[in-house]
Amino acid sequence: MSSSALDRPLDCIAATIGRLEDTSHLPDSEVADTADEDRHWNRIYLLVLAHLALWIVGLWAVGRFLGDAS
Amino acid sequence: MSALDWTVLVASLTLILIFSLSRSRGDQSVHGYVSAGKQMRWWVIGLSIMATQASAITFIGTTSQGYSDGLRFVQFYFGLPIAMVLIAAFAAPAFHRSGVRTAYEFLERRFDFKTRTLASAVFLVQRGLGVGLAVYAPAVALSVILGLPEAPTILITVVLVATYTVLGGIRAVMWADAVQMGIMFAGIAVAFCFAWYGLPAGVSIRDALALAGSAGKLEAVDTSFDWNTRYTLWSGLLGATFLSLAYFGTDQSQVQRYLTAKSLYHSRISLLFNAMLKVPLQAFILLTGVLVFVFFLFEPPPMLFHPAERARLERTHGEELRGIDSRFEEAFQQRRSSADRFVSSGRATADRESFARADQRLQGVRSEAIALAEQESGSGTYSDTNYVFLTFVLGYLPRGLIGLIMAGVFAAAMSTISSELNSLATSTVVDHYARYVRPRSGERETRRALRWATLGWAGYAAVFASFGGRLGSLIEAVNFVGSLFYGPMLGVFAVAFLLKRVTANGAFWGTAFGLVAVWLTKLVFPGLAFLWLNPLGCLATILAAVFVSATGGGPGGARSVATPAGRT
Repeated sequence: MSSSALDRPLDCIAATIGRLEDTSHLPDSEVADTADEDRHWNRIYLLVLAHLALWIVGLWAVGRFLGDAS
Repeated sequence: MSALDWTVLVASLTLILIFSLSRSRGDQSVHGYVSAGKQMRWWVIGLSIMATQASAITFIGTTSQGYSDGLRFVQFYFGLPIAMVLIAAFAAPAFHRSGVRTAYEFLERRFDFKTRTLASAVFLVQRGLGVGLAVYAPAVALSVILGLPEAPTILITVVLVATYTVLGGIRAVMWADAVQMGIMFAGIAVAFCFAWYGLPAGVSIRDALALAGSAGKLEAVDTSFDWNTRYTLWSGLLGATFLSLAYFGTDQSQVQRYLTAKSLYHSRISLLFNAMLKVPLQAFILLTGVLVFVFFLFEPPPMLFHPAERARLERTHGEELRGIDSRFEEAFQQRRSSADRFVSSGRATADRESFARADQRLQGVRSEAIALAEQESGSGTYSDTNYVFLTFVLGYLPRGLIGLIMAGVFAAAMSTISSELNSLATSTVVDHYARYVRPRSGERETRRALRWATLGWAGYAAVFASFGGRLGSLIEAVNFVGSLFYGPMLGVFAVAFLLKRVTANGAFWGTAFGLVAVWLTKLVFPGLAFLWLNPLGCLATILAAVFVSATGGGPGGARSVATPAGRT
């Protein structure tokens, strides 16, 4: 998956979350985190969640193939 | 335990004490005592977060859970990485920018003093009860298994922990946590290797896994949906996410760890470090328990792992117990023969079924003994979960390594207790003493108050644990009360982070409503798995807070939390 294809859904999620997050108490300079930095962290979060998904599938497969079908 | 084991144990505990104190020398400020001068790096924070969560009962109980129930318990940790991502994205930046010392101080910046006081009071009650149990529960298991009286075990643990926690503050606690986590890793790895090494010559690791799988021990993911089943994929992904969000995002014993980070980057990475490692680590600990199960397919296991309960039954129901013993021995021999046939036939399906039946027969005989123990116990319950792993360690590991594993058990206990004492003292002094009693207290007085508060909580934990044996069903009540608080706490922090229109009154009454709602739900639906109480309490708090705010809940919508000035 290309970087831009990956960034589009992440930008969409970040924008949705950005609308939820209460930033009214923050000075403008702090609210304006650079879009690049946000993208960088979003990619890391996605990687962490993909890692979790792999473990769940892996553990399910262990039970399925070494348990019932061994 | 042999003299060599005692030497390894004492040397490990001394190393923890000296190392942690040496890392905390020099900084005498309150900022250093509660926030480590905001100089900690991600890997120390990450290990400290992990060690704080891993209690001694986690260490010995999780391996035993692997023995009896297989890998299923790992589902409990599926929500943790999701929660860590959300905390890293929302909570960590908010805490970091506001410069607070306790999570509850943030609530005063966002709402008002009464919401802060309510939240910190809930924390003090919940964690105060928890620290007593964190001392008591492992002391009981260690006393039974080592043949020591409970009181000295409790006293040694509390004195050791209190020494470095009182003197060194959070910096000593976090460095000790890092070493303790290393000792725990080493202990589990050694146990895993010896469970594997102890298998008979013709049994490969693949055979071992096939045997465990045939007994249902490798079914880690349960995709069925049942509100009353404690561990399923869904309760793990939904219920445990809320529990982890509440524990890591609102509980001072965890928040205080990442408040010490030298930058937001270190804070976030420490959380994501846990998100990446926790599921593999717990799977490995459970797998160690599963390997112990396979080990006991070829070595005769005790019918009841709790030695004191077993001795009591021998005195009161000797003849009946001997009858069950002989049937257990016969069932064990049959299961062993089935396991041998299964391995030698190259894991043939017919032999697998025969082995599974033999295992069920053995479990059936053990159930008879458990029923007898339950009948005799007075409380109607019997559990030997905390004794399975220790029985294996003491019976089958070589000298020296037993001491290392025992050091791991003590390290797990100490890491949890020290973080709890430190956070309880910090909240007591920062949220209450310096807020209401002595708002003008200087640096020196506050530091002295922190030390006395730590010592006071340590004394309380020791007294609570000493009377633990006489508390009986109160222990269950403590666990029950503790499980009620997390959902509403998460709810109030969620509105603080995410909903700008919620007012101070809305937050306060929303939290109160959430606490009552969870309590009533538990009373009306006692069978409901406890993980579901967290999303429910959180949702009830958010809805009530929004409702009160929308119907004229008073001021407090958008207060500045960005400036660290005006500390209490």
